[in-house]
Amino acid sequence: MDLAAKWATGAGRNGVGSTEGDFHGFVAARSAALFRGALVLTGSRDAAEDLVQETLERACRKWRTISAKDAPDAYVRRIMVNLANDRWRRFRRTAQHPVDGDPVAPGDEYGRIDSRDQLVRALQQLPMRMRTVVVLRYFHDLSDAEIAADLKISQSTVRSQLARGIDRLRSQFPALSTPSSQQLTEGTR
Amino acid sequence: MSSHDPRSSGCTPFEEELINAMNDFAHSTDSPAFDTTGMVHRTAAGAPPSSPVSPRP
Repeated sequence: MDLAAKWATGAGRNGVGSTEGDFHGFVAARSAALFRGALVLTGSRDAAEDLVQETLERACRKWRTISAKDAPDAYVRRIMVNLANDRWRRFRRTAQHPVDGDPVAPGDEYGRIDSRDQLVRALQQLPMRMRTVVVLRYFHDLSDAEIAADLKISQSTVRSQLARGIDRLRSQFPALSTPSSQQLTEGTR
Repeated sequence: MSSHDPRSSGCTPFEEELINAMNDFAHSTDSPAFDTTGMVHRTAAGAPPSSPVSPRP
């Protein structure tokens, strides 16, 4: 088991001599994964770096408590996604325009060369809560229960946000949504 | 980590493409270095975070 995997399971703190060294070890092992999650969530390197920086500072202030938990990695991820949602709420109170990037025009996706780039850009246009649910499911591979616990919402809300998020994305990429795939999705909700 | 695995349980082609898109984007740039020493020192001194929270979602 490598260091990153140990921290993901809570075993990484074993054998570390001090709380400070413990925190350094956690950051060394897990900051890249946190950053990748933040990058997908925010769509911007600068915003992701800011988000992880503040997440780690908050984690550092409570590190003695966090490091005693079974899964410090999950706890820090929870800090990060809630911080992202809090920031989004504050931002929406002061700005009424899209964050960055050109909006994706529905129906304009035919013939575009890089559908994956377009998918990521379309993901960034989802409301932050909906986007967070989609990212936690499809990037972090979390269950309904885990997502609900992270965001302090019900599992039924997770399922509805997930279904609406996927529907919104799929509606912008009809070429990627065959009738058979839609039927399959409906059968799994 | 999870009991639910969308990668193996009824994932549609669209969902697979979404997963691939997120993974490609996530690995499109290197992770920056984070100043843990500064964080620890600021925490020990009871100082606020080094940079103000920018309203970027």
